[in-house]
Amino acid sequence: MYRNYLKTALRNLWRNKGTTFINVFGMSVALAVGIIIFLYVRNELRHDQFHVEKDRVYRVLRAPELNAGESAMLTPMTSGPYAPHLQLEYGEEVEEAVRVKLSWSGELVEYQDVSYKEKGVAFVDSTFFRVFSYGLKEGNPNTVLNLPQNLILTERAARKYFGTENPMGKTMRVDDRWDFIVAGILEDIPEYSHLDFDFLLPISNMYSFSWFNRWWNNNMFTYLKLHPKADAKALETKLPAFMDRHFGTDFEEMGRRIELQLQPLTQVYFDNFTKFDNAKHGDKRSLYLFGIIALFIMGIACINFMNLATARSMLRAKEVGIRKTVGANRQQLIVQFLGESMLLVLGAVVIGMVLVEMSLPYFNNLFGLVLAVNYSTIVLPLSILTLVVVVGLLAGSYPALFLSSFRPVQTLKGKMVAKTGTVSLRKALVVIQFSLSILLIIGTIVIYNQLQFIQQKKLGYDKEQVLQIPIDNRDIDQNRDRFKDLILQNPNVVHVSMMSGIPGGFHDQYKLKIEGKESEDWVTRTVFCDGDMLETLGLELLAGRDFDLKAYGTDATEAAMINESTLKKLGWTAEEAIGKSLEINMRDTMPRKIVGIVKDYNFLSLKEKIEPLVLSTNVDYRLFAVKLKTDNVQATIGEIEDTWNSLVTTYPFEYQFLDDAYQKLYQTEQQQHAMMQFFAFLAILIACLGLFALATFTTERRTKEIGIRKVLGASVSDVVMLLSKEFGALILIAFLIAIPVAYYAMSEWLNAFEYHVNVGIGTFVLAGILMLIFAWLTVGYQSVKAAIGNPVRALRYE
Amino acid sequence: MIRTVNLTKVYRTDEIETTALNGVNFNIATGEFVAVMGPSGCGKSTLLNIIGMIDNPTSGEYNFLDQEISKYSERQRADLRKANLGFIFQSFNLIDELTVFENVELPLIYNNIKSSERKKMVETVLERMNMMHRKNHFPQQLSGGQQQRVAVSRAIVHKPKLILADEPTGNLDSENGGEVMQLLTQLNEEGTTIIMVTHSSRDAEYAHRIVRLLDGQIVAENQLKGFAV
Repeated sequence: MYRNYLKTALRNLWRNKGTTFINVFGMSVALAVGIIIFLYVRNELRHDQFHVEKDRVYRVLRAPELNAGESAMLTPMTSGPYAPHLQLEYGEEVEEAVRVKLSWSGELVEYQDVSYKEKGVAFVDSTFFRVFSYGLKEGNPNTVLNLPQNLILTERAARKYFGTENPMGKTMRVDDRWDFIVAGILEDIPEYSHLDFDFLLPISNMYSFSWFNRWWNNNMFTYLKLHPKADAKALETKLPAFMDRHFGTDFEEMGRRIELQLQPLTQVYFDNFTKFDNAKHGDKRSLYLFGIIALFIMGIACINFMNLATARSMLRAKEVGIRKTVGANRQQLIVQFLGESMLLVLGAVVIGMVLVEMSLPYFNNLFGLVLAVNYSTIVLPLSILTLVVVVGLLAGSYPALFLSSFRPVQTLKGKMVAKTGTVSLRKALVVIQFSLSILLIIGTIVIYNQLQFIQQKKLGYDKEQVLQIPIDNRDIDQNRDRFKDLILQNPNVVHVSMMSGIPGGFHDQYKLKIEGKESEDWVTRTVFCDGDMLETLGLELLAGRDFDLKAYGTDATEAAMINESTLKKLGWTAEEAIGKSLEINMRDTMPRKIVGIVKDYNFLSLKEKIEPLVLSTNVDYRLFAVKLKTDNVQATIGEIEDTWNSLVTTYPFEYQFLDDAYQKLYQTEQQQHAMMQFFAFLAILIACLGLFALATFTTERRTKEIGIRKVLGASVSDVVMLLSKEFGALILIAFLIAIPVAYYAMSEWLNAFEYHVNVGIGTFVLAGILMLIFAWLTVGYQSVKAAIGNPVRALRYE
Repeated sequence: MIRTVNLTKVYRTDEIETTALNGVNFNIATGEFVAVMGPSGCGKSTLLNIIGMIDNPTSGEYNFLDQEISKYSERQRADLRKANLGFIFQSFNLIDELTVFENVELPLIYNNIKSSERKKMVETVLERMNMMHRKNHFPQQLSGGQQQRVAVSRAIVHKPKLILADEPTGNLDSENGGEVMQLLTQLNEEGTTIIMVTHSSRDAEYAHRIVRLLDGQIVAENQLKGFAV
């Protein structure tokens, strides 16, 4: 019986090659998209799931109040004393505590004459392997981190430094001051780990630093592994007392508190609300976005399938009638048609897998991923089977039920007429397809508009032709003034300034004492700079004067500037503010006078509001900003590198353009846009393929009507209008459905930005027109072909 | 074999009600060959469809092999149908995607007959119909007469007790038509009961009895030949 079904199915598919192609092609593209997005989603969701005791591990978060009563942010940065004290004081709950100090800017790592600046250098406690499940290939996990001179590196790093040589027992130098002996080799860190590193070093090397033992020096993560029976929530409620014990007097003095929270290990990756967090993070919104897109596209392909199957059902009606008269019952027919749809889906899956294999390298490259299909496990055939059954049932159930319900009497007499119910269902499905396509078009346009907005937004500073060079080693720190003087001699260098933070980068927060506002709690962002920052970054002065360290000898210790937002928050005019004194807590020993007001500039990303900022001449320089002329940029950079190499011997020259760094702030959004654009295109392509087939079918069925109309005097354009009108109306309905959904969804997306475009009517109109054009191009061909045909032929057809 | 009591069939649409059968009382004995005649729209085909269990009466009784089946479910009727009935249509109604062999095989498949046995049965009937040489052809590759011979093969391959023929010669020239009628007569002589709807009085003469329908009612019955029950 099944052989008979299979033969009928295959011959039928072959006879209707066009429809089969549209179904199989549309479905395979949709499945390929689905599979790729599934791989992506699975890869994202399995972050940190490999840690054996993941359910007992928590990261400690600090929630400091920004100003009294304003708990604005959470940060995972803690200081050295937290871990030992938490373990000591809450021994009943805490089984292990481990500190992880990741390098922010990278460390120089050397072995003989091989040296690299390594980002992935982590200082950790000896308890590290009792909390995390990274695979150690060489070395004893229980003891390897006990000796301060021991170093562990990944296989990847071992290959990089040692080639085929065995690294065990070899000496490596870190940060040009510590010598370590390789005592362990790690398996490469999986890409689905929120901690990403190539080198592990014992944190005991830092015990001797005085900052390490201070409570107020937050620059490392603290993780706690709780006892199996301990309750994290219960422990959390005890932590205010802990903070009181260690910060009681500080809190009183500050008039604000800091609380601790415990973040489950498995939630760390998807948290992107914590500040100063240099762990790897993913964006759950992207996950949802792409998950929804995958469902949309598969939905559109399934609808094609259902529509074409029901539309063509008239052609299968006779077969149903015959099978029923010779004894088939309804169940047998349902089985037959469901089987047929699964067969089609199976074909689509096979082609889809080929498409996946072909496009994965491209996707991985575009989005910096390492997705791959794992062929070695049972999961793949099982997933394929599930996919075939689920999609086959989904797409095939309606046609199967519909076809099997035919009464043989009618079908055999050729009296079969389309039930109006079927036609309206088909129209409803087409409306859904168009709504989904229009949604994707609107989404793509809005994201594009926002990206354009980001490009063109007046940021208040000039990001073009500005080179940023980190000051992150002792050599350059000691020679920074000399370096600045030397590169300023280069005719292609316009300005050079040293500062603590560049726009888009990190800006400290400090408590302030402001004259006349002593009773208020003041915490602002700060930037420490020399006298050339305004010129170098093209910042605008609103009132007063810029720092001038040469003309005013006291500027180096007694001058400060504030930005417009600070001025507004103070409630003063510029005249009132200038001359007032302020003191930066822990930085200044005597008050500074406000000498100038700087126009607001976006020193954070556009996702954040411009906050109050104080510019001061304290010496805490972390980078050079170098403004270049537009000519011979590459040559100039080469010359700057030569200057660097003449002053800095061990550390390689590194630089980044400010506008590139700016782009990186919006990398996620750019990726989202690229994906949206691509998937919107696919969705429309698949929907239009379905529409094309449907239009072909409808036009065929209306051949007689067209003939009669033409005989009665209808012109070609009348007929084209007649045929296009129907689809036009469907698009209009789809458009009306899509608008509110798109408006809501895209407003939500835009809300992540403090500065953003609005979802305007123009966007909707553009999306609607685009959809109309696509649909008309699809339907138009069929309509025109039918309209210019000879009416006599059309009538003879009956 | 067949007994109907007050068989009525009414077709309803939103506006009109059409009575296709109006209290038909009708008996057919096993082994009989009955022709049903009447003008277009008199209810011949409706009667045939109800007897063939591919349509339901609106009211009345229908006994088939001593079973009252007007209340049977779709599934029960399908089971009864596939075991006992064979259909021959004016328009042949072969499945275009299946070869001659596969078309003829279809009723055997639904009767769950083993593949090896199916092959034997199909070949036997195709030999008899002189269609063996065409068994791998598709319906479109055959002439009308050949297609009807395939349809007849399909109708008799599972040795049904009753064959229902709806204008079996309607689409055939007289030579091919005559051949089909010869076949039906032969089958009847071998014991198969036949009910045939026809417009052609020449075809009707092959039957034992002619039942004439007009406006959904039996208006006359002519016994042409003797028939021993």
